[in-house]
Amino acid sequence: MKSSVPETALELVAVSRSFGRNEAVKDVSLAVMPGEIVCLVGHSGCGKSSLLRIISGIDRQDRGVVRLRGREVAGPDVFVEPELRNIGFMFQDYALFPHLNVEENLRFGLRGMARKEMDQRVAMILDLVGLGALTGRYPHMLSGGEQQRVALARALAPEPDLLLMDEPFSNLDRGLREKLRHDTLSLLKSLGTTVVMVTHDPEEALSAGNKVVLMRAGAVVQSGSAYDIYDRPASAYAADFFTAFNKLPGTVRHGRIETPIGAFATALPEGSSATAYIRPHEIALEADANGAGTIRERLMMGEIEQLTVEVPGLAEPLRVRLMQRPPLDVARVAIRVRNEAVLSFPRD
Amino acid sequence: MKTVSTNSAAGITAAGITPPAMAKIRAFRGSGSGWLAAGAIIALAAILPFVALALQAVQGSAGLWPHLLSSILPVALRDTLILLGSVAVLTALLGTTLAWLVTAYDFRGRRLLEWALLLPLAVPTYIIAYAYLDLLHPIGPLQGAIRWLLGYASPREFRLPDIRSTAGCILLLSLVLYPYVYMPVRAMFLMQSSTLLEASRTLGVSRRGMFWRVALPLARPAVAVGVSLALMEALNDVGAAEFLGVRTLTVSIYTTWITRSDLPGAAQIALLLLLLVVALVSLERWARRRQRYTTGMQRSRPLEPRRLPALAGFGLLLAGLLPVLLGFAVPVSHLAAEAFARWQFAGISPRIFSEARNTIVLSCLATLLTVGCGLAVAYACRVRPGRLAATALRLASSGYAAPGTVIAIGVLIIAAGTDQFVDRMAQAWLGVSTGLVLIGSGAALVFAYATRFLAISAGSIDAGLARVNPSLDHAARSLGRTANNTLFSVHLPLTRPAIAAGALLVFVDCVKELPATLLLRPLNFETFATHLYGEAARGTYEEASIAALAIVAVGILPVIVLSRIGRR
Repeated sequence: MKSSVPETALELVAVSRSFGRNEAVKDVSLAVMPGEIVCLVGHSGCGKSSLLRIISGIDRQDRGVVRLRGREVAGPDVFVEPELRNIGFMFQDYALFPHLNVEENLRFGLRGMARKEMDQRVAMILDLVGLGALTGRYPHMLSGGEQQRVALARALAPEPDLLLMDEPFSNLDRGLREKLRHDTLSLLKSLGTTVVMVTHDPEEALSAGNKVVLMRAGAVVQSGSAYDIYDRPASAYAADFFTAFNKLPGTVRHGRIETPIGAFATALPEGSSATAYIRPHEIALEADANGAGTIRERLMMGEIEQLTVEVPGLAEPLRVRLMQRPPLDVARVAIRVRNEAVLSFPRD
Repeated sequence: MKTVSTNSAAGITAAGITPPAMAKIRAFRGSGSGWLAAGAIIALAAILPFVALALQAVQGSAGLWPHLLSSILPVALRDTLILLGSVAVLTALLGTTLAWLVTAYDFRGRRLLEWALLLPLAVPTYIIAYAYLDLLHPIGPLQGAIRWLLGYASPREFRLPDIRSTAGCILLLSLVLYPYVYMPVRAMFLMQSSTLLEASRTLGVSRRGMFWRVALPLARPAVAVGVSLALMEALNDVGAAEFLGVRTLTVSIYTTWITRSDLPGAAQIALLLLLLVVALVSLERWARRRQRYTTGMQRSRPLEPRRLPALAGFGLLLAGLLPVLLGFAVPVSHLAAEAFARWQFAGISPRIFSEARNTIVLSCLATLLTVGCGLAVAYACRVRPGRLAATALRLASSGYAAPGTVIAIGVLIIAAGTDQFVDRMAQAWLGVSTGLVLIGSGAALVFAYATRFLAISAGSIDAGLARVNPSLDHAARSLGRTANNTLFSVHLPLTRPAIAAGALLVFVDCVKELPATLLLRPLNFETFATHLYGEAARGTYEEASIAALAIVAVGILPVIVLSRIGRR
């Protein structure tokens, strides 16, 4: 470890963990830089929560190494107990101590600190999350949103080197969730806290972090910025996870994948079977009495309108999402898709 | 992958990168492994008496078995089985009928009856036997009154059948043991969904038929649990059977050791008794093998009890109060009257006070040890879950089914061996005799109590911990608390009610405990229970009624707790 190399806040090297026959985490490597907010995303049971437990020290991996600020905290011969890692953990169910009031919950992680300093810290953190009026309340007297803020404040109070959040917003109502997500993340960004959070919500994963790590069956499928992973999914699985695509089967000829609505450039091998992936909002429709598409259904969704368009030769009709709805009397349409908007993956 | 040793960790610290909280790096010992080790040691200690018992029984001189087989066992085994069988039938009948009475019908005084039916639980078997022996004595108050009414002059002309018989013992045991059946069966009836019962009505089953065809079959597992608990208490009993002249296995163990000083012989009978308990537990498991079929409907509306007309309701209330009268009110008021008379006559002697102190100190020490061990075993399951911790919990709980006499003989073997060894060593090296250290100090007795009642404390603490969300543990750890500290700052405050309830039950059981106390108490050390036993065995009835009353008063405490739980 040279000082010239920028130090990672967290580094996982080939971490694996099995429960009986079930491999919950498979060979996961990951580097998180200080101040980064990383989102682990995947369907439930993909190993993302297991990974958080390993990082925090609640659980121990079978193989691989965990380093915090360059120091090994869990490896074949080393294990640092969770209470010595200086990692904050925010739980899905918040895990507020029911026998302690808000202030006592905050003080719980500050033991050993001088009284005066502790008072200052508690006052500051209460102010930060806007809980000043609730200090004497017990957890069962708080609303879901208030509990979430107490949990966040409690995890932040000891000024952890790393904050882990397990589905931190999933227990909130939809409207409240978006507001609290925004408030929480802007607070964490302003504090420069390093965060690893887990979510199963694709939209949340894309909007929350600097970096998105998509997991499947214990392994990392793809990681990168939200733009990378959304615009350039490396696999059909990654593409499907974030968007409900129109999938058009076709064959590759002359470097293009041929589909009933046109041929699009692809790098896939000549002659192979492939699927063209097209996002519903990347399809443009033009009124055309001789067009290939017939509008079968219109679904008004507020800002946008979703149309179901039947195309001869396609088993599944196309789903199209438009900001500008076509006139109601239009039935036949011509279909236009930009070449760059089409992704192609091999078909098995 | 290069592992970072403590040296390079220090290097990083010197570079000023490591915050102080992370300075300690150590090899994985896993915090909480101390608890696991403690749990394992406690579990081993808890089964030690059984191991000692088995070893002693196997080593016992070969000449003993023929004697045991021919003279003692046939009678003892026959009497024990008759007793168990009859008590099983009687408690099942009483407990189930009474439970149905208070759940299927509504009448004036039902709430009171529901609670009052638990009261006989406060009367230990040896106390009801003691009270009725006195009450029904040929020259006692009841027979005297009958003779006076009928105009007979002396007991020679008229007397009731002697209570000192197997039938009398069966009746008296059942009168105080039926609540063990009544409680779970009533809970089961309350849980049964009214829709099931109503469905049976629409299918042409009468209200009475509903009991036989739906409610009772569904409650069968609860009956099995209750009866097995009642039988374990019956097996544990040494006082009632002896006072009433029934030579059960338990009594045989006691006399084999006390009157013949034959430890191997006592160990052999104890082992037999233990086998009987194992058979009983297996029978109970078998009887409730399909217990699952009532779950899933627990949330539904319970059966609406049928409102009875005033007169019929009054009749039912009287019928329902009869067991309370015979199993609690009559013996307890007799004891109270006797105690009052004694107090009027001679005041309360200092002996009673010293016994009270002995009883309380002994029971408190045992409760402290039992709850402490129970906490360790249960918390080990929490911090280090796995097969080892679960096995430790199960082994530590194995004493619950063993009669006090069996455990006492096992502890006696260990304690006597240890005491002899210590004494011999002290004499050889120091030239002084230490005497009986473990038995003389009461340590052996406290150990026996702990072994017998560990299941109660470990069970209730384990149940209490199970209600604490595991993420609270993780939260505490990630906020810088060790496993030990988490116990004190999170679990103890949250499980205090469960721990207190367990401690109360253990304390009361220690106060009531007779057989182990008799066998293991230090010389000239009397508790309420042993005092009562002594007077009853001699046929004197002086101050024992005060002692008996005190035991019953303590025994009422858990009844109050239980009645609250039953009501939700």
